[in-house]
Amino acid sequence: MAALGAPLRTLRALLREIRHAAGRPYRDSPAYRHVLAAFRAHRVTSEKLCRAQQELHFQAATYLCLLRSARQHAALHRHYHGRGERSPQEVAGLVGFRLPQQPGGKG
Amino acid sequence: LWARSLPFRLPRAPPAAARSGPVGPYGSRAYAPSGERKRFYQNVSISQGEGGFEINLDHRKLKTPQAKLFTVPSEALAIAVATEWDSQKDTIKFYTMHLTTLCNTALDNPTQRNKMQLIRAAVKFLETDTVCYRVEEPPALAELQKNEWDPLVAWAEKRYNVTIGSSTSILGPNIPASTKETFISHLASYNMWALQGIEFVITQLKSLILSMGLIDRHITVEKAVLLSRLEEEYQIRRWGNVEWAHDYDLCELRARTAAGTLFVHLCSESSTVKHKLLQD
Repeated sequence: MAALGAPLRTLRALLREIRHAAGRPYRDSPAYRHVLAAFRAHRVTSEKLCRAQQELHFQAATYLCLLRSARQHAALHRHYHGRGERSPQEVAGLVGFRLPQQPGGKG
Repeated sequence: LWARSLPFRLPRAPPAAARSGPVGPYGSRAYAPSGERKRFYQNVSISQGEGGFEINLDHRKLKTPQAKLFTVPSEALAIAVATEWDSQKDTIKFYTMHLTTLCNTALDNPTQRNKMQLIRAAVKFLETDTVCYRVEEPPALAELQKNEWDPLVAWAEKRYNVTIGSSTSILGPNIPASTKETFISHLASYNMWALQGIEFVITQLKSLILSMGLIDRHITVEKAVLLSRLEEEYQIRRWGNVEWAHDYDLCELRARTAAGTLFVHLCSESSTVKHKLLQD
């Protein structure tokens, strides 16, 4: 089985990610409630190797990876690639030129 | 009456509040404008319809790019899609909404492939599977591939009772026909939606074996992505990390792979709660 660690840790991290994704009313968001309900439902079991529990934990870890990496990707995009193109003035300024200014406009 | 006094005609924009019928995410147009669009809805909610679970943006029902009603078979999947839509801030960044895209692909099937074509496309990847395709030099990388990838090939061979092997030749490994048949019949047990997801994950990771490792919950998404990018990680360790390229690609691959894996599991599960009798 995959090395997942403690389910509680995954749950806490997942809830934190859902908080980031959902916005202000996060406690009522469907994702928050569904995840909590699912973890509560699978908590009571006498078996140590409960298959459904492991399936749920793996799904939770996968969803956590999805939310976390999507957020990181968006942050990296904003930081490095989100600025768009430079204006012609800025491009000219990069090599020390200035665009000519004609009183009547071009042409 | 006041409209006639305007000196020019306003361009026709779909009046959001007045529209009563279902609207696609692109308004009345059938094509998607440049990848981003302003967020036009306040609330995202889920409802259950005849065909499954539907997504509501304010009071309008979400539709696919081919204008079909967006329905998913699993409630958990619908909740995850709704969360994707709800997490968009000022603009809707379609390229970050991987689960929505997967659902759209499953509903529309734009490449119009049937189940057997999907399965064959997936199994074909085995011939050039990343974890079977080895280098001979540099020796450090060859050693790393052996240590990291051999256990996974061994796991797949044992789990599916097949012979796969690995190869340093440019032609790749020689996969016996019986191996391919085993994987074909195994994949045939998945439904069409799950297969779209499986094929997506295989295309992202460039490996059938790593994808099966994920589907069978043998490895985590992070581990699968690491193994898929083993040579890149080796080069990064050697030459250094470039955040705006390496981390960017890493996060994107993780997001897509996680979305695909989650999609497969949510589309192929049947959750039943078995209440065990308490023994006093």
